[in-house]
Amino acid sequence: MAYISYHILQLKVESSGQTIHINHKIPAYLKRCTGFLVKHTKGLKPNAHLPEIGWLNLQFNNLNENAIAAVVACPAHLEVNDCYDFQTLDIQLKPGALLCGIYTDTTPISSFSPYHISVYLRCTSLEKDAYNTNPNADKEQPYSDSFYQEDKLC
Amino acid sequence: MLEAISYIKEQLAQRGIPIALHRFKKVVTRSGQNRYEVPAYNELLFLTNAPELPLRTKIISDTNIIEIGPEHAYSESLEEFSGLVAIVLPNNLTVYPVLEFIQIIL
Repeated sequence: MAYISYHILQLKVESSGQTIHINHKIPAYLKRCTGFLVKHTKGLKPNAHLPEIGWLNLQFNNLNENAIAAVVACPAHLEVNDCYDFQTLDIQLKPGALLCGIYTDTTPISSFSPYHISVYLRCTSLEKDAYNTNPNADKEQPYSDSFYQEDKLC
Repeated sequence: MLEAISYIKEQLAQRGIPIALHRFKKVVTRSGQNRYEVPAYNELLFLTNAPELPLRTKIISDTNIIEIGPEHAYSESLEEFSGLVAIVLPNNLTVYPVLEFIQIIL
């Protein structure tokens, strides 16, 4: 059984053309990243849909896996936007590894005002079928797995 | 003084990335052209002469973007680029720089 956790990375863009360097440690209890979603969350209020307000590039596992290269869009102000389609990823996360990357603002200067974007990472905190009834499981499991196993048994 | 090759080898070993080849790569700029593109797919480029580049030179790649500022004047750090690397020079330069990279082919 896998527990799904959503890990959120929030980026604040304060000036036009700004580049934000991302160096973020993903919590060690997260084992696998299975999807991501990038959304503008606050700030811009365009009259029409902006197909591009920036580029995002993210590398997982201490620069080992260049997994995300995405163009970020912004819906028109007051437009109903209930689309939460995660794009699929399948990355085994190393415990405590860094998530690195860049976000570059490309918003047209006429539409720019400071804004926030959020990167939602859909992660699992345990491998599927990680639980078993083997009494020696604690010895065979890494620390975080055994922690959750005890948690569940309680 | 930072020894660039040792640093790169050490860092790539930490990341578990094997090196197929490493060598030097130069991008020579000249008047009349402000933008240069270097395809660096499946390779890494480490910029070694950032302090010698004109202020406001931009280097834009898939994995890193920098703009040369005063903070680079005394910096020994090596910036890493990969993917399509675009070099954009500021206008009205009197001396056109040569950008020097250490190219790592993966």
